Amino acid sequence: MLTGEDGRSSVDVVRAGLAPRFSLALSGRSRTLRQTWLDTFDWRLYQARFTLEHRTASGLSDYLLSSGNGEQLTVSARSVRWPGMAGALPPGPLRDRLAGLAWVRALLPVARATSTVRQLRVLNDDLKTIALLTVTQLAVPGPGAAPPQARLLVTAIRGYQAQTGWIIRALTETAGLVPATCSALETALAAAGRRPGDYTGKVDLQLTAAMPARRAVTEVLLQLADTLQANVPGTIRDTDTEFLHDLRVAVRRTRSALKLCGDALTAGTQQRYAGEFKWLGDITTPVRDLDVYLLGYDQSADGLLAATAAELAPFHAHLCRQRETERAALVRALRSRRFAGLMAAWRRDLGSQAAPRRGPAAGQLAAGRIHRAYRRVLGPGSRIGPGSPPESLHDLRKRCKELRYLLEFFASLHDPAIHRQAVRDLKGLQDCLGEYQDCQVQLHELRMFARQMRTDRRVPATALLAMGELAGQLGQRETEARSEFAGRFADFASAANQQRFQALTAGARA
Amino acid sequence: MKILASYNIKGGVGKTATAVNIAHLAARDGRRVLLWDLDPQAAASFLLRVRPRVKGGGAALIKGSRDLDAAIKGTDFERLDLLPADFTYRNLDLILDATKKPTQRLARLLRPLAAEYDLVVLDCPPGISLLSESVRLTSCRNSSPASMGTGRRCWRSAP
Repeated sequence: MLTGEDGRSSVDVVRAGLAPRFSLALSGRSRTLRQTWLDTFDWRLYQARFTLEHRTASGLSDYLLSSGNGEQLTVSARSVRWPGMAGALPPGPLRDRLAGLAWVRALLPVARATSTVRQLRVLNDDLKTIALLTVTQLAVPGPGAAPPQARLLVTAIRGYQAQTGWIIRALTETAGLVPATCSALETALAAAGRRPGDYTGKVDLQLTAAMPARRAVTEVLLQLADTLQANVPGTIRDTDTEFLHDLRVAVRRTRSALKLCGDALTAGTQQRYAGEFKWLGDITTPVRDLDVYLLGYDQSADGLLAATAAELAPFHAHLCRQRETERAALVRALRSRRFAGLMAAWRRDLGSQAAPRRGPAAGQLAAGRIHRAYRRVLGPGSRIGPGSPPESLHDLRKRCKELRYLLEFFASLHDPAIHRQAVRDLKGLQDCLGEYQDCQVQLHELRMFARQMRTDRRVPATALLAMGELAGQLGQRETEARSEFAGRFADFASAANQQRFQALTAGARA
Repeated sequence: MKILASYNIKGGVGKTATAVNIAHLAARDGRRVLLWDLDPQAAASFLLRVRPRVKGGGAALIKGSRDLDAAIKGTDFERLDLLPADFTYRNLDLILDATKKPTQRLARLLRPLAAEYDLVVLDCPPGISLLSESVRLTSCRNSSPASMGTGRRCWRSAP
């Protein structure tokens, strides 16, 4: 892709650059394309080096999925409404590929542009086409948008790669065109004041060990507040289930940061907000629990042996009804004055956290808190045996989450290799504990749903029997997770991992 | 990948016109097509404006010292590629005869292209030879323009 130095590229400039060795021929008439780029909210396509572009013109409505290594898939489709899931597109290779990339996330428009496209053929002495040139005049809508930028795409014809190399050299050296430094998507995004990958659900901060601890904790909490609020519109509109998930994770991280590092903030901050963020976490729980059920529903239904998927259908309908009821309550809460007031006051308080004259540095605070959190996992975990009650594993799961969040908050202070390995072993333990608790919670809820459904005369007995089989599946998974615990914990508590944590928490005060 | 050969013992009956048009229509309908101009007269290559030259000549292709893939040229038509003719193809019989299992040679050379093309069209030179025997065994269908006594042309297809 080449672009004119003055932001424009014309046929005459190109023709002059290629003469006398090659000539140019116009290929059809120029046409106007409306382009919309789609991606998930967390940029899954961009991260995987894919772009999905919807091109419309008179008689054309095509979706083009292209990868960084030149793979291209297209499908024609009209009247697809976005945001929506990949499944809204017609069946075929593009949809299959897209579904794998987008996972359970919806696709939403991230940038728009209008382009005038003209195709030219580069001909040799035999009037044979040896390369295709596509001149695109990109115009991005919106106030303050940059002037149209001309882009020239050189496409080699098979067997004429050497000549294409010559064409590119001639265009850059003689015609004065310069290689484009960003894609059309990046240009369109920049004009809209955005950049690809501008949202991530992860904590992404550059802290320094010497900075005041209060400033470091404030920066962490401000970024979590950004993440939390970025996910509110998608949660209210129910664009996909992961908006609520990311919102919940941001709330949990905020609560953990307040609990574990809140004493670094001005006096009273921790106490003022702990209760309010607990409320926020609690109001999101019912919908997320139902989402987990519904996301795993197809797999559960496929795993039925005695019952059929059709017999389980009333359970699915019940889950959907429950979710609508709970979602209405959640939306009311997220639109409430209480929530708006909480976020406004929270940001105001974080903004007024002046750095104290004296106090610990970020490195010192991080080392101390991670050391303490690590001991709180290692000690109770080593006392858990085959006869330990489920509550001991649930408590350990909470301590693991706290340790994980601390590692994420202060990741920029650590050696990346040691940090990565420490997180990997911790994640292995968390996955096992998470599976164990999820199965227990789902079993408990399944019994509750069964009691609710029993009062509905329209629900046939076969549905309750099928749910019994689901309970059996959950029981089996729970047993497997419980039996895996000892091995996972042994990995986490290994001497090598202890050394890693010693390195991460060097200089910590007990 | 299907392989179709346009073949007749006689010259001037429309083999090349048949091969080029079938290849073009198939590409226009969305198939990925390779047209192999096996005739040293190179009429198909000229029609598609590709110079009839293969680096190393027919011997390099048939003996496998040069990949077929590297000799393929894109045409002016989307999805239609050409393996051009070369003047050395006049000796293809001799070259084939010098290889092991000469009648299976073309099929073996085309096998690596199976994932890349839906259809391969062979434009054959006239005559009965080792090459024509190899073409007969390689192609799943022969489209054979035949000259009729009335001067009208008809088509005969043999599996």
